[in-house]
Amino acid sequence: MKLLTCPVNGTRPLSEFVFGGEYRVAPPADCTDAEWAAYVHNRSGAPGIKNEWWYHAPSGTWFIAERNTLTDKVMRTYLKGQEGSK
Amino acid sequence: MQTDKFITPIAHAFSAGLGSWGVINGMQVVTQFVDKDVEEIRKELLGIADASFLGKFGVKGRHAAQWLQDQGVDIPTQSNSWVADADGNLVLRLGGSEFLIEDAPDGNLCEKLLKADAKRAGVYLVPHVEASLVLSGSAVQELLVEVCSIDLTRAALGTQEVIMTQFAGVSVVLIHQDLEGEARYRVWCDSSYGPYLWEFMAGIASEHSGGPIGVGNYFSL
Amino acid sequence: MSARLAKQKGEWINRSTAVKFSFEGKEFSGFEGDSITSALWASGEQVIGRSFKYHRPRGILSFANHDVNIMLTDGMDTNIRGDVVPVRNGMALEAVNTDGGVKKDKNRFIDSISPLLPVGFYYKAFHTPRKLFPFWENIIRKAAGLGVVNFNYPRILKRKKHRHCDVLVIGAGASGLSAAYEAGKSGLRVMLVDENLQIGGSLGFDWGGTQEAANLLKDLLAKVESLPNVEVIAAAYAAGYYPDHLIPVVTADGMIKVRANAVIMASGAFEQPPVFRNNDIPGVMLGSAAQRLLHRYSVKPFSNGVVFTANDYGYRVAQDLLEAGIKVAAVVDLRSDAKDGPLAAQLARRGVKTISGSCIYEVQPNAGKTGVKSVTVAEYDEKLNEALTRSKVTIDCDGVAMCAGWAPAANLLYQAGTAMRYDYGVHQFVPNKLPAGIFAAGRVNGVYALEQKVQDGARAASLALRHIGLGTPELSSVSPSNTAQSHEYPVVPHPKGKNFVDFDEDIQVKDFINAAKEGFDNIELMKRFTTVGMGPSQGKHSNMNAIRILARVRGVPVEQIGTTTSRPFFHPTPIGHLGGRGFHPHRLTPLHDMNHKLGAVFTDVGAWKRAAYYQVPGLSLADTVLAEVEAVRTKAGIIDSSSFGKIEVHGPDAALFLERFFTGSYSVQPVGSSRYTMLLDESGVVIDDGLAHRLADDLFYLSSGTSNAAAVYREMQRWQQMWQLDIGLVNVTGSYAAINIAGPLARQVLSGLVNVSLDESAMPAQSICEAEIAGVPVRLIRVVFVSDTTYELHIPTPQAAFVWERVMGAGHALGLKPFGTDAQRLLRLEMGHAMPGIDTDGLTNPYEIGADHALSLDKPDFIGKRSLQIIAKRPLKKILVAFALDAGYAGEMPFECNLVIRDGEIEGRVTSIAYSRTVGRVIGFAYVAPDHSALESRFQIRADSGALVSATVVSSHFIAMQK
Repeated sequence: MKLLTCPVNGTRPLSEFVFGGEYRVAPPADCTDAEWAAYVHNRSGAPGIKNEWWYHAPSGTWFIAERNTLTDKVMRTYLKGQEGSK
Repeated sequence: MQTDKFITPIAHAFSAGLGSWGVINGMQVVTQFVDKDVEEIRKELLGIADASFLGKFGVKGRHAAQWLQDQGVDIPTQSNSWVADADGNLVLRLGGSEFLIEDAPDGNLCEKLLKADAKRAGVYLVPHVEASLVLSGSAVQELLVEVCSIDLTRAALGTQEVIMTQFAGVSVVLIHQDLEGEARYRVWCDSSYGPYLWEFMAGIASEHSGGPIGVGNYFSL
Repeated sequence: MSARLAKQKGEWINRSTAVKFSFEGKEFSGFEGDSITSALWASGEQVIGRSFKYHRPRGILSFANHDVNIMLTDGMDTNIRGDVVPVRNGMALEAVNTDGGVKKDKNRFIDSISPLLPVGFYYKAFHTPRKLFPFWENIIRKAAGLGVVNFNYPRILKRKKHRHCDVLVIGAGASGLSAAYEAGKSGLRVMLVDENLQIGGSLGFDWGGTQEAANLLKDLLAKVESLPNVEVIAAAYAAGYYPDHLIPVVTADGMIKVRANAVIMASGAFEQPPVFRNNDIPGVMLGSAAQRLLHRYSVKPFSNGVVFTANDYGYRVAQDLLEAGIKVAAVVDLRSDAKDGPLAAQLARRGVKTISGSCIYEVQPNAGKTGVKSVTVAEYDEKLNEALTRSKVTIDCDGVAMCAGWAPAANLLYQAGTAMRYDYGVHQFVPNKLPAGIFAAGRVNGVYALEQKVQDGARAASLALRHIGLGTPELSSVSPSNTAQSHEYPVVPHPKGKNFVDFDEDIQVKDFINAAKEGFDNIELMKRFTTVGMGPSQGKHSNMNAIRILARVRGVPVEQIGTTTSRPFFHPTPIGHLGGRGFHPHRLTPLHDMNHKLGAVFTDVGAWKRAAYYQVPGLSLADTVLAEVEAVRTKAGIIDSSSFGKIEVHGPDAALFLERFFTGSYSVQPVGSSRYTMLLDESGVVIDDGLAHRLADDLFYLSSGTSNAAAVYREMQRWQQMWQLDIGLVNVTGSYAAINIAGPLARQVLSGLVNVSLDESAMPAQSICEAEIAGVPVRLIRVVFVSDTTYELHIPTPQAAFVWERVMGAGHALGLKPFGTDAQRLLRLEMGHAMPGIDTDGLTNPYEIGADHALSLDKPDFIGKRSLQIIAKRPLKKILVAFALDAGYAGEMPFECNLVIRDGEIEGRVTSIAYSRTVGRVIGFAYVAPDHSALESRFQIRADSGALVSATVVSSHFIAMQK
């Protein structure tokens, strides 16, 4: 089983985590309907480096994992808002 | 089983006419499961006890640490670590800004804190009615390796470390405590999972010639 | 006739303890420590199994845990591997794949009709006429299995343990022991795993007539034993590789999931048989099998043997045979230059002739094919890969030791993602690029010489330590052997075939040639067509030869053929090991025992066990539920709702958080009131609903249904991380129990218990207050989910049972009855409440369920708002309506998910439907086209049988239709 490192609780097996989808930034509310629909409905499945939400269930910690979906290597994990701290 | 006001969350696991019931700290618990000498042997090998009667108090929020210090509580300085005060009351820091405090059997810190006025922004009370367990014995690692996939050997645990992980699929908070010359693991889980986790772990304990014991084997009551 | 040799050093048997057992009804005796096969072989039994397809007699082949032709049944247990499983007193063994015993197997005739049964014949033969297929299928299925499953097999709990170490070494031969010792010297935690009962690998049996290996073994064992941080786990195989170095290690009584920081694969190599006619006759075995028999069990493999070799290993085997007093009639070496080498000279000095550039063309079996009578030796043309039969000689013998080469036991290396290359020096696949943290040593690495294996183990250990972060100096690399340890094509064609490649599945050379001719000339296709490597040994002795043959057929180099995918598990593992002690976490409410006492039948709702209904003797389920509903409608009912999600939102920004999270407005919600909450996702789809109770300006108490509670709390935490509002979220689901008391007498039940007034003016619908029952603090909420008069009590969990009993006591005289989730669903339907997840699906927006009233679109923002702005511009495609079937309808009952049909086209579907005794009609919710959603509109539901059932759109407040 894969390991993932929670920035607060350390390295744990994947079974302790819940996947929260790709981290994406919503366009501003005054965007066009088409832009909003693209944000809501379209996902890029192309393999590469993605930022993903992960949740460490026992502690209730959401964090971001930077993961290469082609190689399944996790480059780093960090708390949202603390990107620069590591 | 009589119904008094408070009953341990693990009660369901005890309902098969097991052991003798009593009231500790106002909560109905099983005080003894088998003969005293058998319990002592179990404790040496792999004992599991229900300490849910111990008073608990929780607080979280960005000012929680400051507020506790204002109340004269010594708090752990590191995230995910714990301290015990001179009276044996435990203060666990869950992550960075949440605290779980558990009284020693004769402690009343939690009662005191509940009465204190915590009403301010950034200080939020968290009710705690968890199932609270004690594990110990020479075969305790044999149990831990079956219920938990992370390394909980003494060598792997940092000093005073609080671990939030999963036991048998259930989220738990765990610490390791050396007390009275023996290594004890303290485990807290959501009350609703208490009976499941108890039965699961007590089953394993029995396979190692240990099993459920009254909490009096750990605390002088 | 005993084949047992005199006692020798290092043997695994304990001669002071005899073991008595039976095989196919005959009594045998062996020694403690014997494997089943070694005990039988020592007693002169050489036919111990029958082959899978042709039912040919079989004996020892590898003697290395993949002798799948020797599988036995002992009462309950089946498919016991004779080559490795220790024999025990009282075993009553039978071979598995026979009809009437291994000697007189009635299916042995199949061998003589084998030309009629080429590979793939059943793909082609039995599909027409179709009618007959079940007949053939029955026969094929019976023939296709090994062993019989005993359904009375007791459940034996196998443990699954998690262990952690710094360095895991797989394989405890020369290189593995060396690696474990070198890694262990660092003081780190090292685990050394080996599938054999005793560690040492080939050092324990491959002696080559000298004491060198045994001395080295003694030395290495002493070194490893001197390190307390090196844990040796014998009789356990590493069964697979999973990401981040998780290796399940299977032992007899369970599985150890080992998580390592670095893994050294010193897994060795499987000896591969040369392919020639009758290479499966009992007595023909691999050279290493003969050595294992000799040195582990002190059993003679045969008394006058021929060694057929294609590498130097055969000479070591010949020396060992001679040392044991066994006559070696000749060494036949495929290589033409062997005769003049020093190894041949050494043998010549002991009177053994080497016939080089030659092959065994065929084995002549004895009458019953139960043993070897002689072998025919012919020259071998290494260019044409043909035996030159003009110069045949026959050599009398009673056994053959075969040494043609090796295949690396690289299964876990492949699984870990190692890129392999074919090395033309050693003629073997070796690791080319290893994944991070994975290291290989020894034969799997192409390293064969003893001293070099030890060096290679130490080198791998140094790399592993460096990987972990220790500043260990890097040792110089050890090159693969530069003499070929394997022959590049040890295959002897024969017009009459029976030159087996795969002994599991009885696959001969011609089967590969035929498969390639039919177009299955890719290794993966060939595997599936011929089934090579698909037997219980999973190709351990056959894949390499299959690759070599296919390469030759296609005329390409071996490395272009590639290998089949290696998947976990590496070795067949009992299903009980995989099952183990399963985790089935479930949540019980603090009222579980109370419910149980009242006859509750529990159902799973998410992780929770909830009371579905309360069994009444003599009453059907349907009537039980209707009676529970009736109690709520006419008197009062009580339900344990403790599983409801309960979340506190504290802080100055609490109302703002709710405004952003839910669709409604909360900033001006009065303290003491409850409001509906609806949660959308960003695309405007309805996810969940519930209630927000305001306990203070800065404290909201949220309650929601059971199944979504954990996910909704997670979403709250996630959005809060993005919004960073000044709030505190506290999940109190487990901290409070909840009880609903519903029905016209509910107020009467509670009024004497609570310390607050329940008057309509003091406690109107959708209000909340903090109160006490017998000194227990409770949150008291007026809700309208199942009836107009419902009080919901939220009680600290440890006091819930106490309060429940008080309420039951107070309600007893008033007819208060418990009701479960079945009745609750009908009650909420009667009340006209659509439920997210039941009456909505993953695409439903709030307009489609008529929830416009729950949307505060004038708020600055909430999750899903932007999408609703888009959705609102478009015409609706469907809309949820309440409907009733005609009064007195007694036809076929439609079900949830039955379709709404108009003019033969699908218009919508039923989402909820039930007979309501209260209303006297069948009522429900269904999606219909907006044009047909007006009250009194008629539509038709297609029931399961296809019958169309008429329904009428009615007001959703069904209860108002009450008869």
